[in-house]
Amino acid sequence: MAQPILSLRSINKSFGPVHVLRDVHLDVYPGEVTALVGDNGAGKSTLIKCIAGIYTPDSGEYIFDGNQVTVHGPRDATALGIEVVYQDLALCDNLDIVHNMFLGREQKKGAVLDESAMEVMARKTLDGLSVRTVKSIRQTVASLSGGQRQTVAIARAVLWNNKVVILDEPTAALGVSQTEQVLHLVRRLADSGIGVILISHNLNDVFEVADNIAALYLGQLAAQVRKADVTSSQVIELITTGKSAGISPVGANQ
Amino acid sequence: MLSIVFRKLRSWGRVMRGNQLMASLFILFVLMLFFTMTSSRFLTWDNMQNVTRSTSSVVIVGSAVTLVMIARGLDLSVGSLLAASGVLAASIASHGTNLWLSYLAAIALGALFGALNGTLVVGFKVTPIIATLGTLNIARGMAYLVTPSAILVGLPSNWSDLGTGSFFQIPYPVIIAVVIALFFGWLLGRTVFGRHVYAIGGNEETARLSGVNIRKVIFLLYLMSGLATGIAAVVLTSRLGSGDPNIGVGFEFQVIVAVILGGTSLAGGEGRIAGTIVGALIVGFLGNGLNLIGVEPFWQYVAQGVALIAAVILDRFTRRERSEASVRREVNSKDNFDKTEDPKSIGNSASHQGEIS
Ligand SMILES: Nc1ncnc2c1ncn2[C@@H]1O[C@H](COP(=O)(O)OP(=O)(O)O)[C@@H](O)[C@H]1O
Ligand SMILES: [Mg+2]
Repeated sequence: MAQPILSLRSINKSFGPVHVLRDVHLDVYPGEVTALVGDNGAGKSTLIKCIAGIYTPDSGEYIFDGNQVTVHGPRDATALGIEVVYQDLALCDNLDIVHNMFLGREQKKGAVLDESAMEVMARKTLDGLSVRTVKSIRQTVASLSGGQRQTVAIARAVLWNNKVVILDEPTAALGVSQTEQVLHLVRRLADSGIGVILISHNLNDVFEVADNIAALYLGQLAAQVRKADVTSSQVIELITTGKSAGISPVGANQ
Repeated sequence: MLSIVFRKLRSWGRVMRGNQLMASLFILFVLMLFFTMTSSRFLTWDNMQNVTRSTSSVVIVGSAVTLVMIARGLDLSVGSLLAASGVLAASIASHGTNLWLSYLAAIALGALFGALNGTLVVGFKVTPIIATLGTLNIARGMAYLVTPSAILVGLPSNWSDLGTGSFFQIPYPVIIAVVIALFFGWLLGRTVFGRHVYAIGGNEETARLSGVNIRKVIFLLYLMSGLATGIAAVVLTSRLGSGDPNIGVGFEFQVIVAVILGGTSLAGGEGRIAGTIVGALIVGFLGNGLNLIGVEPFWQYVAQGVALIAAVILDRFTRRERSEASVRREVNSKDNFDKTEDPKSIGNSASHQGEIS
């Protein structure tokens, strides 16, 4: 097995007296989808915020591409090539697709925006992901369906040659066929060599697209297992009780 | 009955939203047609020069305030600041200082107040309406502290050149207003800064997470609003030929009416400088026309108030669809969330996958 692109070792994070993450390990491999599952309040969001640099862990190792690093803010994470697609906050409704994809990283020609260069790059990225559903990349995202919005948000993450892309519940608001489309996109993302972390409540989605499943239970990693080695009822056990017969806890898959 | 009116308003709103600028131009055209028919003195070269000359301050300040309002801010301090900057320039000039230095002092005071507004909003997280309401009073007080009554004597002979002169029949104030409007139009439409202004108005949190330096952008917006007000103060006091601490009462109101009539959304995220220019002309020609047909000045306040409220109601109806769509999305996502939250339902999800749509 290849070396993980991102490894977390013994991550701890407390908010005052509340110990939210306890000795959490996580390995994310390039070219794989790692699903992060867990009940509400298990610490999934806190964990990805630690990865994204929004929170700084109290202790633990953050190893990126084989090197131990410290991430002090979202900019550090972005610089490493880590991109988060937040559930509700990924896009500005009033801007068009191109502007959204380049928001915060606009291309310039002298002092002014280089609209045509951005348009070309945006189109190339969408084509590269085989996205054919959007009519015009100059339409505002307010006019897009939920699935198209997620597509644009994911394309935005791909545009910058990221090494790790984190998706927070990308299918939560979608219908069946749009969920299908987005999951295909997630798969293609991983197939292009990116390490994808997928947070999801839906085990159907997880089993359809993930290679690796990490289950959090009350702030601890119940287990990180390969999908092929588990059944969905075992994963449900991990989520609800933190253990499951036949699955050895943390680190067993290394 | 009321629901029919609402429906009419909404369908009209849809048309307006399709082409906001055309709608504003249409209102301006109807207004001008009306006054041309009711007053022989309205459509004359002199009167056009007059109105555009006096509208230039609204255009200068309105251009900057358009950006502020697109980013969901507000600047109420511009009217008082007009007076404070104006009397400062007049006071300095009447003591024999170089004319251009006194103009520069007025612009610097504008920038200072702009920076103060920016600091209050960005640094101290005071809501824009309260922050600029505070500075509105501070600036007015300062204007009266500089001089309790209008400064008329001691002003240099060339004091009024800028405000009353013209270049090939085009008044200087109009030229200045056009240059400033072009600058803000360029800034808003062609630069990264302008793109970030729209993004902040669309969704501030998204903009922040995308790496936009929100605090810097918002601070600069208030700074530019103050700067533009300083420039407008120079143009206005020069035109009036005096430094009067009483000017600019209700000016902030005219600016906001112009910006909103010009199609800038109160909810932020949308708006254009061209629209604000048309909005300013609507405000200017409305006041001028009512004057010419002999309507008492008191009624002009009423007319402006009605114009503002009408513009805001139209704004609400035009944006309604958008907000309804986003509410629908939210509800939708919440539904799914609740359904899958319960661990038992995760277990069963394979059996009722179809429901999730
Ligand atoms: N900023 C915070 N301050 C205090 N407690 C927090 C904070 N963020 C999260 N928590 C707590 O940490 C736990 C894990 O939350 P979260 O990471 O959001 O879980 P999940 O995303 O898995 O639902 C919860 O009990 C939550 O109340
Ligand atoms: Mg969460």
